[in-house]
Amino acid sequence: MSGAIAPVIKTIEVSHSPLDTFLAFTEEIGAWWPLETHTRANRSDGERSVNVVVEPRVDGRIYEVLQDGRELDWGVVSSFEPGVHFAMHWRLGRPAEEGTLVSVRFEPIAPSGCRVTLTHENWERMGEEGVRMREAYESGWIEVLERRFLAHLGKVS
Amino acid sequence: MPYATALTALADPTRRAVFEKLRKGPLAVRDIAEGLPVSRPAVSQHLKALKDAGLVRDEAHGVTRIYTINPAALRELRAWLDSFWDEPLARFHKYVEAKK
Repeated sequence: MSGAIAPVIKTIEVSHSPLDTFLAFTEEIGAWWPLETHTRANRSDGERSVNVVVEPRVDGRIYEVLQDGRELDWGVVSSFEPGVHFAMHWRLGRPAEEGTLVSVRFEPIAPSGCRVTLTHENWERMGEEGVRMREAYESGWIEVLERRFLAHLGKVS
Repeated sequence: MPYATALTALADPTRRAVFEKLRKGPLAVRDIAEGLPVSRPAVSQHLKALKDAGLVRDEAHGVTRIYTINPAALRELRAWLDSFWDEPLARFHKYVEAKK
């Protein structure tokens, strides 16, 4: 399979309604997101993340807030259907056309719970960039992980 | 944590360019060096670092060595990438269930 990279799919089940679960996932993201590890903040430069915000509407921003008040964009909301579906165009500082799609579906399960299915896809959209030797990369990790490396996996898998 | 070693090795842009040269298949050092703005000894140094990190393998073919990408190392990195959402979702699960 060349050109397409298998999506990352993760599922959890919780004992809250789909609507409550949706609101906890979006409005309250700053309360549960692992700020100390999964952010854009450059910890070796002393940056620390203090919050993550999802603006609750299509075209709303998703961003983290640093301790000095600066905001670092993560992406843009592309679907916001409370209790049903949430999606974001996930960029983490890269050009828009290289963004991936993070999609979260909320489905009712018996007796009164919710199944949350997260799908992270469109890796191949990042495409293959020619070898540019002296480019200054904004973030080596993100560059390596999400563009170069996944583009590469698309070639070999 | 072999994936960490691999990521560290790939964080260098020149080394990554050397690695990417092997995408299409096995190559000898002189073919890898072609088109790269670094000397052949420098390319050999990068190949050594990639080999030490488990990302490439080499094999003697007569007087030259042929380098190939090590697919096992790629699988390991892919598994690590897959795990990105595990921690956020585990946190979310714990948070939402504590809300009762």
